[in-house]
Amino acid sequence: MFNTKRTIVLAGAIGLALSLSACMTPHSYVDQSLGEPHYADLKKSASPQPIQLLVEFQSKGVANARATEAVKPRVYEQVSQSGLFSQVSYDPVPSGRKLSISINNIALTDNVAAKGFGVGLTFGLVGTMVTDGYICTVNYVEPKHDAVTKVVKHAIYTTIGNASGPAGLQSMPIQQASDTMIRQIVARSLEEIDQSSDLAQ
Amino acid sequence: MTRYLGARRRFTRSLAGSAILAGALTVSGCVTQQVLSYQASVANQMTLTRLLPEARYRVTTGADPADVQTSVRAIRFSAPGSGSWSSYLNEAIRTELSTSGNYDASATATLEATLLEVHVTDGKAELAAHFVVRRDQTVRYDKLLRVNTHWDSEFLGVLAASNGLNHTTAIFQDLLRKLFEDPDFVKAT
Repeated sequence: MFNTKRTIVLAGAIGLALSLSACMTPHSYVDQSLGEPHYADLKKSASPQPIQLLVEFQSKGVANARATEAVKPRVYEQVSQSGLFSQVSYDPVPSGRKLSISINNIALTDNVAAKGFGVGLTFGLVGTMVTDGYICTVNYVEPKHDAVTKVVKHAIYTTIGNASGPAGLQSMPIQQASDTMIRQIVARSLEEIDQSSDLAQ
Repeated sequence: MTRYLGARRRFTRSLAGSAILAGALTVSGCVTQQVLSYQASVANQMTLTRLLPEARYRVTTGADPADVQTSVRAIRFSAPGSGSWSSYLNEAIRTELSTSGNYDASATATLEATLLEVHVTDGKAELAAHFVVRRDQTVRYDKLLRVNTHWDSEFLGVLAASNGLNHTTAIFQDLLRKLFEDPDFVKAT
């Protein structure tokens, strides 16, 4: 969903070159560096505390309200299921604890429109691959304690036309790749916060 | 004479065709996109942790400014609900203060915001407002704040509009961040 914009650039540029060839379906690949979450490995305090959750999705550092609205419930569910907190709320909690999760989508491939234009001109014979980077910044704030900040990075590769994806990665639709990326990047962020702070104190 | 009348008919037809095309373009160009409801900014929430936890405000805003321009290419952005940007600013302040636990509709302290201008065009946005904090009939804070931002314009219209939409909501967050970061505002609490 969140690299949809980059795909639109590619698709739009292709469409400008020709109105053509329905066979150029984009394929997405999620980087394998993070892997799936392992909530069982978390420290899981004996007395977990309530937390206020703040979520934001950004495109090139600018708040993206539509994407934030889409991501928020998924992140909420994931933080709740992690077992790190007794209760997760968007409203302030009496202890003043806050967990903010901000995901920024940045372009790692230059001149996407030109590449897409080339793909269109060649009817997809010359394919292209673009890379979307995601930077997740997580802050755990507890009054009278130093804030804990962790940054986790992830990537989605998308090919259009006759281009190979990265070796060893599974091809999937864009929406599935976005869901997978969000799940993995949030889970790793929670693991890192859990390792570097005592959430039960 | 016949040749003259024929030429005149062709000219009239071409003028009528141009007028119809221009009319169609004008009508099709009037696309309005409402921005989504305001969402609290993570950066603003981190900034608001500097306020005293017991600080509470109610919020008032004035009428819409005359100086409003919010169009990117053929898309005009409008505020949600009634379409009032002042109401949107009111919602924005209440959302930020509620999320940080500093909003109370019956508080004695009032944060008054008067929107002065809203400008969003292709690659540029600018917003200005006058903020006053009153407590017990005493003015504790009184400033005009202005923010502006620039970004690269996209070749494709749909992307230019998408960027414009994001920046329209983001610049309201930026304006409030400027207010919340102001040491004088923090002192006024």
